[in-house]
Amino acid sequence: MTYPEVAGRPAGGKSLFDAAVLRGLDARAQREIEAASTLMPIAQGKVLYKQGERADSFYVLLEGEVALVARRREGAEAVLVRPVTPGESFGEEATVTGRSHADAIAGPSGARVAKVPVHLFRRAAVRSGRAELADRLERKLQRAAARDAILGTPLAQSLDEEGLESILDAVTFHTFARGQVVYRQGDPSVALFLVADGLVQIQTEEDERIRVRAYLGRGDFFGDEELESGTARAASAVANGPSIVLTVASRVVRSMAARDTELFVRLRRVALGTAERQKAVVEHVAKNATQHVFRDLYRVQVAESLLVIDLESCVRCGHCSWACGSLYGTSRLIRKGDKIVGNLPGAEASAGPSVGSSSGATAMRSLLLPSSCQHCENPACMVDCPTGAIGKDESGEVFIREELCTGCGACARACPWTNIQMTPRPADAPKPANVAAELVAAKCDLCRTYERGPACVQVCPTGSILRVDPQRDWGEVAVLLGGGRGLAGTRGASAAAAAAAPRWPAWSLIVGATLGAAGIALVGAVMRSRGHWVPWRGVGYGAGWAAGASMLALAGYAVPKRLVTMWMRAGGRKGHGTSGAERKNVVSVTRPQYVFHLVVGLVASGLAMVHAPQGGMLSASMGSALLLSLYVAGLTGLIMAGIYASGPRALSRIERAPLLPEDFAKERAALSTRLYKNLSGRDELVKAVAQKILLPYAKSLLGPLSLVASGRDLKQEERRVRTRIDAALSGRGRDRLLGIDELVRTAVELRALPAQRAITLGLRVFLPIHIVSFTLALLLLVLHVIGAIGAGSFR
Amino acid sequence: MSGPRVHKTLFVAPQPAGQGNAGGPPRPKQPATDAAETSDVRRVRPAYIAAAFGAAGLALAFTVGDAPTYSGAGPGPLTPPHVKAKLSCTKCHGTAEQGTTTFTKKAKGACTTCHGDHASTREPHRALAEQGKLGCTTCHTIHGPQSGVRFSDDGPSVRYSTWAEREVPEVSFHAGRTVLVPTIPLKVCTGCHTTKPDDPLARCRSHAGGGDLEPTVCFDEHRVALPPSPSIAAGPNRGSTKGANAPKRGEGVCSDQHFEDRSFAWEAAREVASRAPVLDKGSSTSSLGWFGAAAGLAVVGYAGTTGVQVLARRRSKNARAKAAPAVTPSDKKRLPIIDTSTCLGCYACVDACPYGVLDVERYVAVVARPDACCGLVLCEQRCPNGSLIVAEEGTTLERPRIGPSLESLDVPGLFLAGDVTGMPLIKNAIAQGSRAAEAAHASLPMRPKSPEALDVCIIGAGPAGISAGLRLHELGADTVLLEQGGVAQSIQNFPRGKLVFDQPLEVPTLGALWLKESTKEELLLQWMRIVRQRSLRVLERTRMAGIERRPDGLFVVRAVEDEEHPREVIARSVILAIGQRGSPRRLPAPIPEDAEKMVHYHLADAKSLEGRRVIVAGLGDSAMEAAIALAHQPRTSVTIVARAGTYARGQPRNIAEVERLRKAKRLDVRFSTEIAEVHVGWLLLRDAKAGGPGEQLSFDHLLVLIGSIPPWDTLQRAGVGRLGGERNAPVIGEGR
Repeated sequence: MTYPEVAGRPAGGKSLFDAAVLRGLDARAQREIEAASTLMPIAQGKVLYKQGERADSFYVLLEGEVALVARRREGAEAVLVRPVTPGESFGEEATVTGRSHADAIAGPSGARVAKVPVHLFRRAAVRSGRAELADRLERKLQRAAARDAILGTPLAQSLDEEGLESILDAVTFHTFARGQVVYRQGDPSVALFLVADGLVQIQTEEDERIRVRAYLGRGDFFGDEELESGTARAASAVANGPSIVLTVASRVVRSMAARDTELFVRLRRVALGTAERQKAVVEHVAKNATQHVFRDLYRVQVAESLLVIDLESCVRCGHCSWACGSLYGTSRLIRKGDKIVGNLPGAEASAGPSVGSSSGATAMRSLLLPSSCQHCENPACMVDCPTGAIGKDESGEVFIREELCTGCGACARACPWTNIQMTPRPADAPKPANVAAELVAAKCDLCRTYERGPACVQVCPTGSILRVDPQRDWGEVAVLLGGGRGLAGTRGASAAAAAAAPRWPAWSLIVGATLGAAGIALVGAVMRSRGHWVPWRGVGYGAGWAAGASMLALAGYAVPKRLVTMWMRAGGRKGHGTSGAERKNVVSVTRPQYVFHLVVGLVASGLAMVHAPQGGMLSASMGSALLLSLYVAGLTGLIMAGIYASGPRALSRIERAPLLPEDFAKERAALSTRLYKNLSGRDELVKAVAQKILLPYAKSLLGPLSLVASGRDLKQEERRVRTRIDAALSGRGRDRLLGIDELVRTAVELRALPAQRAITLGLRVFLPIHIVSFTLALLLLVLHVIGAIGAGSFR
Repeated sequence: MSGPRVHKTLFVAPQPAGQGNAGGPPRPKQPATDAAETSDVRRVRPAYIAAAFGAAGLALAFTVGDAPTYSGAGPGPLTPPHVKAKLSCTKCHGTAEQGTTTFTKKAKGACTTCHGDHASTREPHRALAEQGKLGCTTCHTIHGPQSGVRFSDDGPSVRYSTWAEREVPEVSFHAGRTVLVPTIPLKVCTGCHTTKPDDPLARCRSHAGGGDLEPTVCFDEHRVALPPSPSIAAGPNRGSTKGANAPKRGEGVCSDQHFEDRSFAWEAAREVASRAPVLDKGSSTSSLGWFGAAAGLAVVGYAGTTGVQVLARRRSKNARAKAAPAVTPSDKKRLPIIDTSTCLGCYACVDACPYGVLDVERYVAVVARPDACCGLVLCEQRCPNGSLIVAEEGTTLERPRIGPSLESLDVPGLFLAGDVTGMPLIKNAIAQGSRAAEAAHASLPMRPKSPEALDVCIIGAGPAGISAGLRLHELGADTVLLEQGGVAQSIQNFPRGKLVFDQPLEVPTLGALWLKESTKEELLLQWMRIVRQRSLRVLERTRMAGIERRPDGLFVVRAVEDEEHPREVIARSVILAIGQRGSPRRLPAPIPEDAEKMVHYHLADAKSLEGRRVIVAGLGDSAMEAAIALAHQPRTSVTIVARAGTYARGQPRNIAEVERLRKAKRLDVRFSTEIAEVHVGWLLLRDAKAGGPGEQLSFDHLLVLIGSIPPWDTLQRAGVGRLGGERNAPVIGEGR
């Protein structure tokens, strides 16, 4: 399906604004809607959208006809809801629930429709004084949604049609922003709540930790229990993401309960069932993992293409961020964010040579969710954009239209995970008229304008960076959220699964290469000493040429991957049939090259040893200088490979969250401030413990070293310190230790920080030496070859 | 804590950072982040430039240093005489095999081509030679380590080897031509001989040292020293396989060496060889040198690039931060003006305003609370399309008369800084404090001097006062700060955990006072640390009672310590940084003495009032914040008494939270009500408009947060006139 993304002025522009919904808009509103709406021709019999598909737009039929067809239940026969005639709008139900309620199929003569983003329409309508229009539409739709929601709960059984109508009159809709409290523990219980959309969690707070007691999604209800007992709220309800909640006042519920004595019992049975189901899932995977993806369930609920970095194999080289930066001027991927634990399907295979083979396919791994767009199901940025510059294409990719972006920053503020940054607008970039717009919002668009898909994933040398669809790739998330995303199963095969496809036996290759290189070098040394192999003849001579060729191959790893702009060809959707789903499943192309580079590096060193006289490495000849540079490069390469193989795992054990080298100083100050802040106002006993145990522990010079050497992770270390404190106190003053856990956590982090810094530095420091020495070696190689050929033709 | 019966704990998660006790996922909205380059992106550039520098270093070493000899594809270098003779491979080895550079032909007999047949005259050697086991190149390893001595007629004697040459001027031999004496390294003899004393080789050793490169000094191997005589020339031509035109013994390239004085040359050569037995190979640059030069330059390149990056980052950061913040307030009231036809409704201005002046209604920004506007242009700067500008309105503000350097226009030597000047915000106060301090310091030379007087006395140790104190301390002025409460009392009075945040302040040394985003506690902690570190002199609990200017121009600051001990500070200049809170506004109703200790004018910690009955008078931001904090304490009953009929002022989020708490019955709000009488433990309300007697409320604590009285009296007594209000003449009488 190809069509212009922005229908500047749809050919049927006049008839678009003749539609009943759009009548009476002022010029500005028309302009805005024009700019943001899409004109789509649909061939006869084609399906425009399916029932249950996510939707954030409604449509206006301009020409032809469209039939709306729906199934009442899964598997039931489809019935015609209504035919749509030109000038009519359809698909508005997205306004409330974000999902279509029917299939839209083009009629025999085909159709031409305009797709209008709902949020934009609402904004434009309200501004141009047509608020009542939007309101009326919304009320009607809300009622329908409320009906659906109530019918899905046990309330329905005690309601006849009349009762349902009277309840529908009594319910009110409330929207809650992410993090907003529906009610707090201790509040009076005044209503029963139904989640019409979004995610609400029931939680209590104890000792600086949140205890989540239930996750409630669309169709779930809460608050019934306290209503029954008439007590104050026993726990808080917090909107985990923007949620629409239906409120049924307590008197309505009570009057229902008076008529139907079983009502509360039924409600409780359902709630218990949900709780049991959730407990079964969570206990299985996240029993002691406070950092599990459940921590921010909303994030994984809405993310359709979440970028994760496997911290246990990521060598912190920053290629991902760098590649993005060189493609777009400013990197849209910042290697900072929440660290979570989760299973990474196919991690075993994707983990590269740096990870051992002990972890199973479902092993929990430390993952980083870096600042990079996760392509939400219902993007907050898109809703908040005042000019409709943010769009979402049919494959679910969220993108920014630069030509509409005024750089106001509303989207950047709206994104709960700060995945949008404001960047200076390039001089040649399109921009809206009459606006200074020095800035432009930038975020990951999965490299949609390039043929090959995300550059960050492709350039990762260890294959640690992956795009996952949490509801597809994380089974427990899907189960917890009630089984995936409804009817529309447009998601392709898992990227992680693709990553798990048969790969090179990297480890055996490298070990083989090491042995081979050592063997070659040994044989070479023996043969040289016996005078059989000489550099200018026979095997020695051939080895020289082979070593030179290997060096070119080595450079061939480093150079092309840095020339991202050259191999990332612009082309996007028109290119070789790469659909959105395929683009999401891109795997690293650099990883096999990295393995190859290691192998060739080892072999090249062996060949050089065969070719060159070893004794003369420091003599005054070009060959010696070449050999020296090559060995320096090889040695640093070898050291790097070693650190790459062992560093990330050690690092992932001891970091609370991955830090960039420039952030360590700040983090240290923040930690020590936190320590003292948490200490202030605490019991004297806690202060004494901190003075005697925690501060010396945190400041110990060799502490970081012993922490790394011990192989304990932060959690185990915290437990050990806590045991030490308990031992020192031998059971006294247990009740006076309020707040000690937080202090222990901070102290452990303070101890881990220098180690984290050292390992991070170790992962980085050798690369410049490697690059410089190898560049010198290459130059000397050229001179050496010229010299050799010159000498050879000396006749 | 008893949880609900149905829901047991599912999952324990850490409290999100910066969330206080609110719970739930992270804060809903953060300010928009500007893209920043991380080290991930930056790190490769220096490495590339370092590589380029390294390459340049290599090139430089090639041009400036000794070019390295080539020893790559050949068997090794030749001795200098051979090099001078431009000997090539084909000369000795014949042609290479077709299409390769490989020579298969051995060069065993090639020497005689030029040198003639010089077979050894020693019997054992001759025997070996006849068996074909000894050739010229057996001893004269042409590509191996060879050395010799060269005597030239016009220069000094030279000891040469394959790799190097060295002059030995102490020994000379003049023969009217260049004389060459090759010396054989011991190494080539030890193939057959041993170095034992009974070996014939022992007689030839020079014992000059040099290990296996020690030169041997038996030069009589070939014996013939004389020029060819016809009889010898006609003699048997042993070992020669060459044709008739091959050079005969004594002929060829070395024929001029065969003279009578050859034995003297040998003697001199022995001397030279003993003086310089072995020449150091490393006299030309070794590969380490090459590598070192290149690596050194690479390091320079790396460090340079990194340095440039750091500088560029700092510069752009400075450029982004607004040029020195404005320090003098404007005279007129300024307000945002919004062009509704272009406003996007993007909330940029709403988020930029620290006072909640702006709001978005119906997708267009409106000035919701004009009274709270501070007149700064934070909102204007954030507006993406210029729909919002901040412009002056007609009304003139009430503010003290001060000049651009913050010096009072009425009392020279008296400076004002901070809220008292009519410019709000902690950040401005810090900038103003610094500006006033600099101005005060600059004017010191013009101020009268006295041994008893301090340079500057600063009154008030709030943000402006501390900032001024630090700057003066830095400038080396003798300074003291008087503070009626404790350091940064005004900040301490902020509610616990209040977030204070804004763009960073890019003023060196003062930047330390400002944290980009912090809670009140963090800010205080930072200030305490700095005050302690720099050992600033702060007299706490010392209230300023009056300022006088003596006839000699010095200021006398009268102060009271702990409300009982009067003390005087004599200073050459005074900086007034007393804030604008002045003293809290009191209730119009009289408060009986016994009830005084139940009445408070600020709330420092809500926890201390846990479980009490508290009445909050007032509905401004501070009253609402206090009420919210109190309502979050368990078992605390909170009643707000407000004269207004509805929420008239205050930040939207405070209003929303109070409203939420009111609906949840966590607190009670009495609108249009005022306090008529206060008694011990109870008070009487009345309707603010109708005035009729209202209900009776009992309380444990009464919080009066109905604003404060600006410190006009103090200013007036100090002689500072004000704009906007009635203009006051200076009242400090000379000599009073």
